[in-house]
Amino acid sequence: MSEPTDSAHCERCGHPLDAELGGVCPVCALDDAAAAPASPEEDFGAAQLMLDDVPLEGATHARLGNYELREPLGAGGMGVVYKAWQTDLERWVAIKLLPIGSLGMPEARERFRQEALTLAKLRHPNIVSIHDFSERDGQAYLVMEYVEGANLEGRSSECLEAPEKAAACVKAAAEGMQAAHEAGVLHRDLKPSNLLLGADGRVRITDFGTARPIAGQSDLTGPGVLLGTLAYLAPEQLKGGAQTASVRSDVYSLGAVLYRLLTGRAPFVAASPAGVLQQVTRADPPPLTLLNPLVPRDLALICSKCLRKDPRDRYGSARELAEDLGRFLANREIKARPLSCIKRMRRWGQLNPGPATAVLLGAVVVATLGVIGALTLEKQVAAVRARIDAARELAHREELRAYAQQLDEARSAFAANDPDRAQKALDATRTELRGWEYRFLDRPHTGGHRSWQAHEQGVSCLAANADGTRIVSGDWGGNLRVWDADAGRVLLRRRLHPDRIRSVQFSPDGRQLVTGSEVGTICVVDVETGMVLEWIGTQARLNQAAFFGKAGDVLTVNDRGRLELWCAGNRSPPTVVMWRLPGLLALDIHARSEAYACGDAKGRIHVGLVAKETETSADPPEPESSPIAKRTWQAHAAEVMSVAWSPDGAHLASASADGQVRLWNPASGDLARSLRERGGGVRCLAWSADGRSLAAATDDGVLLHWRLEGSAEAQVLSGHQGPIFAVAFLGQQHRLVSGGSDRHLRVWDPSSIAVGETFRKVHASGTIRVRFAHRESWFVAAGPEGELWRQDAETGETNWTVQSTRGRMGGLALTTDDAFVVSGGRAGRIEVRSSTNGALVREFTVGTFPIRALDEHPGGRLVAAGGDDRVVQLLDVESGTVSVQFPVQTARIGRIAFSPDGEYVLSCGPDQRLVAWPIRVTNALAATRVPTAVMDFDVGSGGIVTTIGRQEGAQTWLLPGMKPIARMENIETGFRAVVFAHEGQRLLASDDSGVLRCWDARTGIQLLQLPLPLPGRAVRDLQMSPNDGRLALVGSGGELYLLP
Amino acid sequence: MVLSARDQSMPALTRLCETYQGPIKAFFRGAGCSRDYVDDLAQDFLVHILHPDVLKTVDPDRGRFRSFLLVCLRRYWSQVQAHGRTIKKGGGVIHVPLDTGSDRPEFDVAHTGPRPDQAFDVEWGRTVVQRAVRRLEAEAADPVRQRLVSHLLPVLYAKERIETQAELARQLGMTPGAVRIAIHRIRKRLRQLIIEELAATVGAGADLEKELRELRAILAGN
Repeated sequence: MSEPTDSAHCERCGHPLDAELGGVCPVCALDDAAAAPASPEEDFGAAQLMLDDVPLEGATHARLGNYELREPLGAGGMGVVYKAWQTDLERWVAIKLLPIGSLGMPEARERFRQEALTLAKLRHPNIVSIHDFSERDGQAYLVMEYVEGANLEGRSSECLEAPEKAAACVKAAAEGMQAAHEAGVLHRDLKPSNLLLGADGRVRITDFGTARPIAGQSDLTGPGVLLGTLAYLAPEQLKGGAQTASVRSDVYSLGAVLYRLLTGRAPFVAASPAGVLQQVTRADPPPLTLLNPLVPRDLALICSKCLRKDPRDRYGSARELAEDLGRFLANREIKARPLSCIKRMRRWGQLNPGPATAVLLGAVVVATLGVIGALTLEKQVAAVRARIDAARELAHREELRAYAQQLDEARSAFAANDPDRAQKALDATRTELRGWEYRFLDRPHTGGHRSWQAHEQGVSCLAANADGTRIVSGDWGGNLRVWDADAGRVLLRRRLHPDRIRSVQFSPDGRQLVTGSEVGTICVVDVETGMVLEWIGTQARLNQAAFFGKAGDVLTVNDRGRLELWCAGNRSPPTVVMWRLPGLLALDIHARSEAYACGDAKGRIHVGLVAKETETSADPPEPESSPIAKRTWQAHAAEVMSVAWSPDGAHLASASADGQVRLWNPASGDLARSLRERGGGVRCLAWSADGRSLAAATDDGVLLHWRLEGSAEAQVLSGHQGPIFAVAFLGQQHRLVSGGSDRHLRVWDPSSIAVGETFRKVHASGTIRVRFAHRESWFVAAGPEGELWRQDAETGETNWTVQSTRGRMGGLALTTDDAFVVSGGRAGRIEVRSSTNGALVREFTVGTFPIRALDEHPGGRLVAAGGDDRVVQLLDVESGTVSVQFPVQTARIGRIAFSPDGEYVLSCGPDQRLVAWPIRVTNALAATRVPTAVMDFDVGSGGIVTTIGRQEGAQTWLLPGMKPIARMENIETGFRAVVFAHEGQRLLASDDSGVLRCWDARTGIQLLQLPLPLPGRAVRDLQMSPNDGRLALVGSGGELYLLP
Repeated sequence: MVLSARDQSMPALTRLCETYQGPIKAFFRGAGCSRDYVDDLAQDFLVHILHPDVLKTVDPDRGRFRSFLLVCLRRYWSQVQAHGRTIKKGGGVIHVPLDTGSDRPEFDVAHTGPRPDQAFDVEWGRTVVQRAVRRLEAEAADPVRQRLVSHLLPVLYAKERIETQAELARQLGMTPGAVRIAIHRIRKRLRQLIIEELAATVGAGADLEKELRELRAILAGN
C-alpha cells in the first residue's frame, strides 16, 4: 500500500486525500458520522480508542533477531527495557536496549557490555538472570529473564500495613546482593524500582547498569562521576563519587529501600537535588516509628543501622543484614543496637569539629554527675519523651527547610518573570506551613504602581510633556485624552480621528500635540483647550507623525514607504525626504541635530539629516558638527517596530517584532550593545531624559527597564494584562508611564521596585515613625519637624496632614479602635488627635522630659509612654491621668510595646537593655530582662518576644521568664529593625546590606530572603499592619515603602 | 466554546484561535490576499473578534459558531476594504501565537481559487476532521498501535475487498479478522470524535445533524 499523497483520491467518493488528515477522506468521515445517531452523548462511556483487545499476536513488531519487541517496561538513563517475545523458544523475555542517544557513544556501549558480563557472573534466585547479549544492525541488546509482576516502587502501601512484608522483600534482596558481592560486584544503584517482585512472590534485583567490580579492574565511571538515584545513595557515594562505594554502600541503599517501603517516602526528601544531597550527608532521617507507628522497634533499629552515616557503623555485609532481618521475622533477638552514646558523640564531633572539644569536656562533667546520681524511672520516661519531642522537632525542621527551598524557587521564578513556574512551586508547598512569606509571594503581581483605566479601547500611543506633568494618550477608536500625571485625572477628552491613533507627540514647547491616525489624518491640537489647530489629510496609512524643528513642521512615515515633511504654513503637498522603502514603520527625530531615524519592515534602519535631504530648504542650517550622515544598515531580521535617539544623539536604540532590542552607533551604523535577543515583540522604546535608562514595551505584557550604566539585566515590570503598545518617561524623572491593550495607563517608579518584587514608595523622605490602623488599611506617619499625616495604604493618597506646634514628635500610637492618634513631644507633652481629620482633641503633660516612645494597650484607651525621664507610665487617653508608673530605669526609653495579651509592657533604650514589666505588678523585682544587647524588639502572640542586636542577631524569647527559644539563622551583623508578621509565627528583619529576611520564629529557620530596593540599603524601621499584613519599611533617609 | 470565550478566560480564547485560524486564513486567501497579509489580517481579525463587545453579540441560541464567525469575517472584510487597516506599529494587534506547531504550510494561492465564503467553509470542514484525526492518533497508546492506526486511516472507508484486507493483514502481521475489527473500532471512535468536535461549535439547540450534512455537502462540492 502506498503512502497517501496529495494526489491520491478517495476510492469511494473520489475526493482528493491529503496527508494532513492522515489519509482520511473528510467527505466519507463526515458521511460516516452523519449516518450514526448524531448525539454527543452516544456511547461515550469509553471515550477512548479501544484497540487493546485487538488480537495483535502475530503482528509485525520491531524485531531484533529472534525477538519481537512488544511494549516498553521502563526507561532510564542507562537504557530502555522492552517486553519481548522470543519466537524460537516461544517465551517472554525482557530486552534492554541502549537509549538511541547513546548508540554512538563508545563508553556507553562499553558500560552496557560490562553490565552483561556482570550479570553473566551472577546466578542467584534473587537476581534476574541473563539469557543472551548480542548486537544486530548496530543495536546492542541484552536479553534477560522476564519477571511477571511489578517493581517495589509501588508496593509501599502494602508494606505500611504489614512491615514484615517489607522486611521479607529486603531480606531477599540482601541475599541476592550478598551473592553479587561474593562474585565481586557492587550494584551502586539499589532502589525500589530496581527490585522486581514477581508474581511468584520472589524478589529479583535488576539493572546492574551502574555496577562495578569491588576491587581493581576497569571502572568506566571516572572518579567523582555520580551514578544512581540521589535519595538512595550512601553519603560516601555522594561525597566521594563512584569510587568510594563499598559493600556497605549497597547495605545503606537496601536500608533506604526498607525505609521507603515502611514509610512510603525516601529517607530524605527535599525540593531540589541539592537539598537531598545536603540532607543525605548531614542530617538524620526522621525516625521511622514517627512516620509509621506500626513499624516494630527492632525493624526500625535494623533500618537505622543500615542508614548510618559512617559505613563502619552499618552491617558489615549484606548477609549480616539478611540474617538480622531473618531473626526479626522469626521473632528472635536481633543484633542491631542503637548507636552508643560515645559513637554518637564521635560522629557529631566529626560533623562539627569546632565545638566538639568544648562539648566533650562538658560531657565528662555530666557523665561524672550522672554516675553519682542514679537515674530514676521517672527520669528515664522523661528522657524517652524528650527524644520523641526531639524527633518530632527534627521532622518539622526538615519540612520547614524543604518549604523554604520551594519558596526560594518561587521567588527566583518571579524574578525571572516566570509566574507559571513560581505558581507551581508555591502550589507545591504544604498548606499548614504557609505564613506571611507565602502570602507575600502569592499575592497578585499587579505591581506597586498607580494605574487607572484610561480608555474604553486599547491604548495605542502615549506621550509625556517635558516636565512630566502631563500625559497624553490615544486609543484604537481615535480618542485622545490628556491627563494630570500626578493625580491620574483626565484634563481633556477629544475624539480626533475616525480610527486608531498611531502616534502622538508634544511640540517642543509643550503647547501643542500632533497626532497621526491609521486612516492617514494628522491633527495639530492645542494641549490646554483641545482645539484642533490644523487638520491634514494625507493619502496613505500613517505609521507615525512627529513634530520636526521649532517651526511646527511635521514629519511622517507611512505605509507607502515614504518619509514626508509637511512644512508649517504650506502643508500640501509634502516634501518627500525618502521614498521607495518597504513600509516605514518607525520614526524618531533627534531634535538638536535635526537627524531622523526610521525603521522599515525589512529590519533596516535609515538615518540622515532632514535638512540635507530636503531640496526645499534653500539654506539648510548646518547643525552643530553632527557626524550623522545618510546611512542605511540591516539592524534586525524582523520588522523594526521602534527607533529612539538617546537624548545626546550618541546612540540609537531599535526594537524589532521578534523581540530584539539593540543600541547602535548612528554615525557608523555599528552595533554598540545588544540588550535583548529574543522574546515577545517590542513595540515602543523610550529613553529617560538623562539618557541613562531605556524602557521597552513588549507584547508579553511586561515593561523592560535597563539602567545602561549597570548590568545588562533588564528590570521586568509586570502588571499589564496583554501587550503594551506605548511607554514614555515622565519628564526628567525616572518614572515611566505605559499603556496597552488592557486600556489602562500605568505609572511606574522603577527605582522603588526590586526585580520581581513590588515595593511602593509612598513617601519620599522625612518619615520617622509609622503606625498602621488596626482595622482599616491606612496608616499615620510622623516627620522630623512635627509633621503628622494619614495616608491610605491602598492608594498612597494622603488623607490629611497637620503640623504640631510642639516640634518633633517622639512616639506615635493609635488607640485600638483606630479613633485617636496619640503623639508625644517635648517637655512631656502628649497630643491626642482625631484620626478622621487630624484635629487636636486634647493635650496633656506627663512630666517634664521629652516623650520618645508610645504604645497603645490592646484592651482600650490606655497608652504606655516613656522618654528621657527613664520611666514607663501608663495613662488614660481620655483623661490624661497616669494609672501606673514603673520604676526608673538605667537609661532613657526609646521604644515601648505591649504584649498582645496586654499583660506585659516591654521597653528598651540606648542602653540596649530590654525589660519586660508585668503591668499588674510594679515591683522592680517582677521585671525580667533579656541577657543580650537589643536594638529593636517586637512582641508576638503567645508571649514570644524577638530581639535584634547589631552584633547579636535576631533571637526569640518566651515571656514571662524570657527563656530563649531560638536564634535566627543566616544572620550577620548590622541589623537594626525586627518585626513579627501579624500572625506572630514569622519574624522579619533587615540588615545594612539591604536584605529582608523572614524566619520561622520558633525554629529560627530562614524561609525567605528578599533584596530591598532602598537606596543606601539600610532600614531604620519595620512595621507590620495588624489588619492585612502589609509591611512598611522606613529607609535610612526617611523614605517610606510599602509592601502589599 | 463560544460561551466560554465570552467569559474572557484566556485558555478558551487561545483554544478558539488555534482551532479556527485555518478557516479564517482560508477566507482571506480566498479573498485574494497575499500570504503575509493573510497572517496579519487573521491576527487583526482575532483581536477584533475577541473584543468583549463583539463576543457579547454571540447568542448561544442563535445557531452555529461557524455562521457567526463567517458573518463577522464578512463585516470585517468590508471594513478592511472600506478604509483599510494596517497591521503595523502601534496597531493594537494582539499577537496570538498563530504558529501552533502543527500548522499546515501556508499556501500563497493566486486569486483563482474558491470564493472567500466557500474557502472558509471547506477549510472548516477539513479542520473538524483534522482535529478529530489528530485526537484519534493521540489516543493510540503505544508505537505498535500507532502504526496500526496510521496504516488503517487511509483505508477506513475503502471498499471492503478480501484481497486488500488480506494484504494489509500480511503487512501488519495480523489476521484479516483482526484488521476488520480494528477498522471498525477506529471508524467508530473517529465518528465520536467528529461529533464531539462539532458539538463544541454548534450552540445549544442547534441541529448537529444539519451541520454535519451541510459540511459534508460543502466538502463534496455540491
